[in-house]
Amino acid sequence: MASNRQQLLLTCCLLLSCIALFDVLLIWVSGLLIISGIIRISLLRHTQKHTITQRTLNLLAVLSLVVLFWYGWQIGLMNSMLNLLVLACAFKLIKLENHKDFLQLSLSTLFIIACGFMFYQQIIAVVFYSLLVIALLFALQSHFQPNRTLPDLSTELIKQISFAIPVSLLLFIALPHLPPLWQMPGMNQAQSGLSDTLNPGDLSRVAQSAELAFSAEFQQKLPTRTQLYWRAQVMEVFNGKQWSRHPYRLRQQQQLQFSQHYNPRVFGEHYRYSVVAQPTGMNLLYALDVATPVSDDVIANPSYQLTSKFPLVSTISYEVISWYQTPLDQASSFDLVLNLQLPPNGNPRARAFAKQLAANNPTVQQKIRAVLQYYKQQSFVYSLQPDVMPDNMVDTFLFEKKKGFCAHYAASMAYLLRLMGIPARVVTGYMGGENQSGNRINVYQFDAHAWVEAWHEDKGWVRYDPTAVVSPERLLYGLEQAVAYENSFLTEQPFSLMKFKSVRWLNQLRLAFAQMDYWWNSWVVGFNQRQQLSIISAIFGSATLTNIGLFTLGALGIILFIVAVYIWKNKPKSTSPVAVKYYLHALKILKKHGYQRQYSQGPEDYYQQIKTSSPLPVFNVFKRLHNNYMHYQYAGKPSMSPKRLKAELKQLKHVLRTSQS
Amino acid sequence: MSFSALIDQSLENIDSLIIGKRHQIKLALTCLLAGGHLLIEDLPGMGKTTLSHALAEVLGLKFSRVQFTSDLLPADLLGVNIFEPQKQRFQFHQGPLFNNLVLADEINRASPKTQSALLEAMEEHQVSVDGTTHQLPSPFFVIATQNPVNQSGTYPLPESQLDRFLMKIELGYPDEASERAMLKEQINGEKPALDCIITPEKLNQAQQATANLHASDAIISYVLKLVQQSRQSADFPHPLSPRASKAILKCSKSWAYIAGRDHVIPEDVQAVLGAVAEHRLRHNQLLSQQTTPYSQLLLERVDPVSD
Repeated sequence: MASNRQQLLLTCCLLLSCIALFDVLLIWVSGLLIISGIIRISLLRHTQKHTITQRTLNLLAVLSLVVLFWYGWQIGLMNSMLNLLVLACAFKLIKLENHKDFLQLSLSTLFIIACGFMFYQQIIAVVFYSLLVIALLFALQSHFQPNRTLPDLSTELIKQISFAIPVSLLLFIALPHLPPLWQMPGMNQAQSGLSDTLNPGDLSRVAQSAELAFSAEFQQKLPTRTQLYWRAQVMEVFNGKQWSRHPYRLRQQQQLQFSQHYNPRVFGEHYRYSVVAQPTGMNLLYALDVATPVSDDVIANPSYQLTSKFPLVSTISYEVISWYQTPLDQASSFDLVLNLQLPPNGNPRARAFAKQLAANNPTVQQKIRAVLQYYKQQSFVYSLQPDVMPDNMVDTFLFEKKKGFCAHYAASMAYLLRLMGIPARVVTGYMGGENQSGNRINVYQFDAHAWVEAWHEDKGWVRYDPTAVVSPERLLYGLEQAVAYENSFLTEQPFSLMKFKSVRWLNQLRLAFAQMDYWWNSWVVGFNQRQQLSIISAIFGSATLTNIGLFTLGALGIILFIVAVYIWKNKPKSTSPVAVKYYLHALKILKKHGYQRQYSQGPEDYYQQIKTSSPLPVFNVFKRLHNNYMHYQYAGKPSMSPKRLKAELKQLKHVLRTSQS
Repeated sequence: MSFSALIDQSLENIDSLIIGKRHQIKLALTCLLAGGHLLIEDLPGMGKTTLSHALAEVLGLKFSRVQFTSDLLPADLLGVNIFEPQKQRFQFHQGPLFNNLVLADEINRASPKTQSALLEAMEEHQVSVDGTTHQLPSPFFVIATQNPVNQSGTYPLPESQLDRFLMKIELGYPDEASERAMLKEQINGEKPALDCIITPEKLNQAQQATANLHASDAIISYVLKLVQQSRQSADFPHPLSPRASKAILKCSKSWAYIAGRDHVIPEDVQAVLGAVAEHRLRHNQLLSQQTTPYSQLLLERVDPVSD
């Protein structure tokens, strides 16, 4: 049985690996785990002598299963499976009795640690998990070799890890990165980022987060700041309270996955860049207009949106070309009809206002200018803390509060334009971003933005940003400057490094972290076939099929070499001299023929046993081998030559065969 | 006549006196040959004293027997300084300890004070009385007998003192045939006389030869593996000390010598291990629940034939 030290270490590893998953685990499951941890530790420290009986434990397990089954509907398959695993571990921890239990629990803990990667893939998480794995390996090692000293075990562990790291690196780089065979069971959890409906109040909540949304690395030049409208999704349906996508668009998107891609006509100059997007659990991707995807898994649709084939459960990277001089002039008649739809009533003042504007301004251009003019002339205020507007949101905003976030402006403007008969829609996404070194732009959640697109017969969809009219700072400098007057930037995250931009070294530190994070996300978490191919072409010049084969074989060869070196270095050294070797061999042969030697039986004893139990020819041959062994091993006399010993062995085999037949 | 033949003859002679205990007699001889003290533990009437007597006679040693009781004092054992009025000085009168072979009968009936006086003499081969040190004769052997600890009126020997005995043997009940022979002999009324077969000089030579007997690396590794096993496994509450491993090798050599071999083989170690190690592995019998001997357990866990 493992001694206390190893069990204690294992218990700590298990608890820590689950602490890291605290927002995935159900509260009562974590509670149960902590209680069983306390029980185990108090058992180990002898503050408590009696463990829970098997019967109580079984009952508890059944009850927990029932409760988990009940909750399982709400938290999704994936999470309930993880909870089940942790539950099982908690019960095993109480009943940690023998060698088998210890191994089982160690392996399960390793599995839980691996599960952690599904939820957290940041560098810091990886460091944490690596430390846990090392601690666990250490516990396992000292469990198997309890007599070795601490420094001895550590050097052994370091040796093993130093062999394992290059092997896993090579496997990571060289193994083909296939797309997942099945989709991850959906995570029924709110992920940060844009949602697929636009409730004007929601977007300002998103903008309270300083989390990275995505980062884009441009190949040559960077666009100017006012060009940085990152389209994420287009909202075309307004139900009086919120904007959302039309169900038809979802069907259209599913069809596009299987049919040919949507290819808008593009021309003019372009930007080429790759984007590393953080997980959102949705299919939304981000790009500047008009985007055509380069990567395979990315689909363009007629709303000029990019979507991914799979929900973003982990960081992904994709490459895009944006033709910024191409107008967005593709629209079907369905699109235009759809973008005029409005709920039949509500917002009476807005309706009257629109009617009046439409009467005064005959052309589309004039109507739009008049609306923008209204925002400009009235005392509208851009704010991260808008008031709640439950009913007739547009009326309340336009004529009473006059204080809102970009979503309020975009939603109200699109509403007014539709009232005046101009096809219009709300686009959500991100605006701006922070310039990093190396032509890179980091876009954070607080860069979330919403704007309006209106249809012109001659120019197609044209972007209007009412927020920019009210608060040009938002467009030119970003959110922080735009809401500086009310001091509401990141009020929910008082310790975010973003807040300390003015402190120079802190800002540099933040930028360095961001750089590291980007590198990590693009080369480790988002490592895919494309990057694999780029490595191959960097080595061989081009990524032909032969080169890929060579690369994979080469990597496998190196791995085999490393493994061989490890095995060779750790080979038990057989220094036994020939007399002993052949004697042991003879014992094996005799055992095969039924002359079993007891484990603790001495050689002389065994000799006497053979003498009485075996036929004479067998005994005569064995006698010579035995005497040779005894003389060599115990009397310090020289042994027979290896050649003779070999002959004797052969003879032994022969007489055994003939005596048995 | 070779020493091995002498030993055989002695064995024959003692065997005719204590029938059916050949292995134990051989162990006792081994112990004396290795220069160590012997502890015989058994119930009363099993032939402990007879065996000691026989050994002393066969070896031709000066013999004394001390019956230990609870009121025995150290002075009764070591001797005292007595004032002689004629010479006007103190004269040391040697106690029974000043003999080649001392039989300490029922040692665990004496008080700890007396026990420790004896054990000190065993270790140092000398006694100190009133500040003067007196050398004990050489060779000096102690054969102590003791009743099992759970018998009434006993002071169990402490662990440190048990360790002083090279071997502890138990005689056990004789088998039926032996006992029958014994009873018949008693009816006949003749008690075989024992002659001195091994002279002290011969014994001295034999002890020298035993010390120089060849013990190969393989044997030393086997002894080490046994000792390590007792230290590594939690099944052994009292691991073997280096003194114990030295004792095991020493006794194995003597055993090999008695068997007439000039080198030690694993069977020698296995033969003596029980007698040498059991009382060190199991210090206090009363506390232990273990029924199979620890030395047996130890032997079963180590493979003598491996590289």
